[in-house]
Amino acid sequence: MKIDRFGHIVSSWWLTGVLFLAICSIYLFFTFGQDPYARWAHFLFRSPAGLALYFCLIVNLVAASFRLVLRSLALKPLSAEVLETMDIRAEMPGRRRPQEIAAWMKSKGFAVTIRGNSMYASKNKFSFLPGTVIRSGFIILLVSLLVSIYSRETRTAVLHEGQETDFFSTKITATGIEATLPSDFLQVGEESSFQLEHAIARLSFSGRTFLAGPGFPTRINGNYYRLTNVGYAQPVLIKSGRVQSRLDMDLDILPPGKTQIVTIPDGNIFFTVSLEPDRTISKGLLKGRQFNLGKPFYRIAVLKNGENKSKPRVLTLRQGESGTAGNVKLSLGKSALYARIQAVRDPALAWIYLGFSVTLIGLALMLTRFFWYQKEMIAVDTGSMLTIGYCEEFFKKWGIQKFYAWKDELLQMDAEKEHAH
Amino acid sequence: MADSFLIALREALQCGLLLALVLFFPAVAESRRSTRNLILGVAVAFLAGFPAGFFPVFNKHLLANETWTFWRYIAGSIIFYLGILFTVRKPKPSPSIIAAGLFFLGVLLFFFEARALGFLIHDLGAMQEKPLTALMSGLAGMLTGFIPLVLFRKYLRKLPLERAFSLPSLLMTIGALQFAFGGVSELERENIMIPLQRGLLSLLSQGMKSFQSVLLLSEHPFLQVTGAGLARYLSGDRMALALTVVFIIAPPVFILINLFARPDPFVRDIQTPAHRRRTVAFFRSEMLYQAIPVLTVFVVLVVLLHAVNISLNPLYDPAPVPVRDDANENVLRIPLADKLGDFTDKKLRKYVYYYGNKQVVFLAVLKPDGSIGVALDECEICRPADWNVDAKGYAQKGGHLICKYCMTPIPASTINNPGGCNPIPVHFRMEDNKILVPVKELILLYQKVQELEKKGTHL
Repeated sequence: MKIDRFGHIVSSWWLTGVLFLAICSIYLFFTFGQDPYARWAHFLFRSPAGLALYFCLIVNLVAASFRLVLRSLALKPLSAEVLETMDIRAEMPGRRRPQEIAAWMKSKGFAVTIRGNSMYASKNKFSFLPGTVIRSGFIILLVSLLVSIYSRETRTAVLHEGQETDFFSTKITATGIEATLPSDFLQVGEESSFQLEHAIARLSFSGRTFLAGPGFPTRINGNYYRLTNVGYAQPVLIKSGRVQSRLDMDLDILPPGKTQIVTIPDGNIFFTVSLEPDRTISKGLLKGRQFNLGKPFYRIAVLKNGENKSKPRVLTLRQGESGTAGNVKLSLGKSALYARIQAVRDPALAWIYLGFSVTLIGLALMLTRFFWYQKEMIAVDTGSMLTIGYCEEFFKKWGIQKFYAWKDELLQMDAEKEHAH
Repeated sequence: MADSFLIALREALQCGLLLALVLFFPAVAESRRSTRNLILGVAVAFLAGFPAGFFPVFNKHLLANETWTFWRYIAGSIIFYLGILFTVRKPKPSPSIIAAGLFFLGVLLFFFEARALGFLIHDLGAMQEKPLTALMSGLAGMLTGFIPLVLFRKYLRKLPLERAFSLPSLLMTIGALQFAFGGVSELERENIMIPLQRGLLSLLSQGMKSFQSVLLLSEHPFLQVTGAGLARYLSGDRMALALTVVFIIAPPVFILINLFARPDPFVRDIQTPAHRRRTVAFFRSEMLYQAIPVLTVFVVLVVLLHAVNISLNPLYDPAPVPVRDDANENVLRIPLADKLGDFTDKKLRKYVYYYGNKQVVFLAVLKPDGSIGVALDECEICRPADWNVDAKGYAQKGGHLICKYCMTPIPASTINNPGGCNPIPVHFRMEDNKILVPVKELILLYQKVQELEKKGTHL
């Protein structure tokens, strides 16, 4: 008895409501401080109390799903007590048998079973499926999310063409980096949002080539790879006095307007690098200032430590060009693209996607619930009287009206039979 | 001292109206114990709330005004949503639980207003250096506000409240009216819709961002990420508005559906046709009576929503959030992530610094390059006329700020660059994930802008 009660509480929607309310209240509590979302997520996934709450929610959803499935599929006891729980009941006069009602209900599309002196008819028995699918998806999502949080490992590396890098003991080589960089980007007006339509890194592993883009991650040897940034890889030769050094700059200066500070490890010089627009001249008139991002035009401000930073020496150079600022000479080599690759080892990622997809499918299926809901009828013959009970899962008002109409129909049939006799 | 009197009168009248709805609800009116407990609750609310706000010695040690407002919203929401709970489950509590419940309801009806009134009356008295007079006129206003309840109790008792209200619809109506009255408006101007929408927006945008990161589909400033547009839509201000609407409209709709889904009375067994017709007519008129308060609440809530922001304006123009300076350092500290959201959602944020009777409104936004831009919410060129104050400043549309007067789009990446249509840059620095704006420089800049504007040259 106690176990039954415990099971009932664990699988109840009231508990689900209470748990959700608790989770929401905790979020509200954190909103009194700074960064509430991060603190709330940390509480939920990292603290014992939060984890207990999270586990309770999972257990409750699993138990509720089982309860609903069992309730829908289990054989209902056909007794006067069960009849009391139906939406509407009526006692049929005359000597009508449950078998007659069964035949009549079959004609209405109900699945009928006869047990002794009683009849059970139901329609849309599997209408619990959309809800169960949505809950299953959510449960998979909750569990896999937790596993992912505790098991995910992430590495990030900048790759240049031809470069080999080790991610989780997997040697990955970048065989190509491609991006459609516009040659006429105009940074004016509402439509000037900078978006690259195509950016991809070709990654090679044991003779096979995989494409890693900014969209869905690519699975290589059990790990997931994704392109998280592209920029210019620009070699530069720096000559300051008698000292000459070579530097490979990975410039994160996209979109135009962004500036990167480049420091030289063994010198007291540093640069700020940004993109410079080209002047568009048409018929001898200055028409605009557009960026040719396929052939980057750099604006390099050369600064020395201890110098007045408000008056830097500025050079505007393209690849292959040289320029001198004070006693510093810069020679730019051929520019290329670099790719920042995020590598993730996560045993639960596929399950997260699965859970998410199943939840979405469940959500779509929920639309069918407007017309796919369970209808049940029970008829119990007590010897002197036949009692019929009827209930519908939703739209009960119309269910009751329908029952009255059926009852009238049955009485009419009885009257016609009697008349024929 | 007319202010104290009138404000207290208004609040007492509002409380009196809510109290009358409960007090003359038959289940309460018939029980002396229930009536006594309800009135006792209101009295306790006044005795606890008013001194808590009035005496600085208590006020200093208690919560800040914003926190009180937050709890007022929570209390209102609980009363509002109890309607749904009592529709699903029809409780049959013992008389002592009913009495306790009514006592708490009485407390919630007036506690927050009494505290805010105490605070305001103390403030008004201090400003005019007549604290006692302000207190007396406030108390007089409050007493006057409750007089109609006492005078008209005989007539109020005759109102057909039992036909119009069920317990769920009564609680929902009280909650909705509390939202509509909105506390002491001189102190708490915000309608619940604004913080609710703002909070939902913050939760949605940050939740979506972390979910995208879990799916390895984090957004990027210029790379096209799968589903980024959908994620932006689902975590945007429109979705927050939709959820706010659902939060506000759900209880009346639920109660209304429940009301109209009641099965018609079974009249086929009734022999006399007149009797049958009377039964059906009575059922229908009952339904109609009970629908009236629910529909009224529906209308009140729609008006409340409309008053805030339910216009089809594609521009995102958030209400400025008040900021105070750090008394020791004379700087404004704005955290990059707090209850108002995270700057990484790239939404425009506006702040207002109260300087004397002036309001210095400035904006902050995360630029595409990951740096922060801070500027006055004033254009260097556009000066709308005094009657057109709504067109002053900037709103956001996608990745651009839009001048509300001339509708010029300004790329967010150029914020902090002076000149042209750009907002006037404000000097700031970053420290520990906080934006630090020196107050002195902000005021100087503001004054400079105002002075130049008077000359007609404006910078």
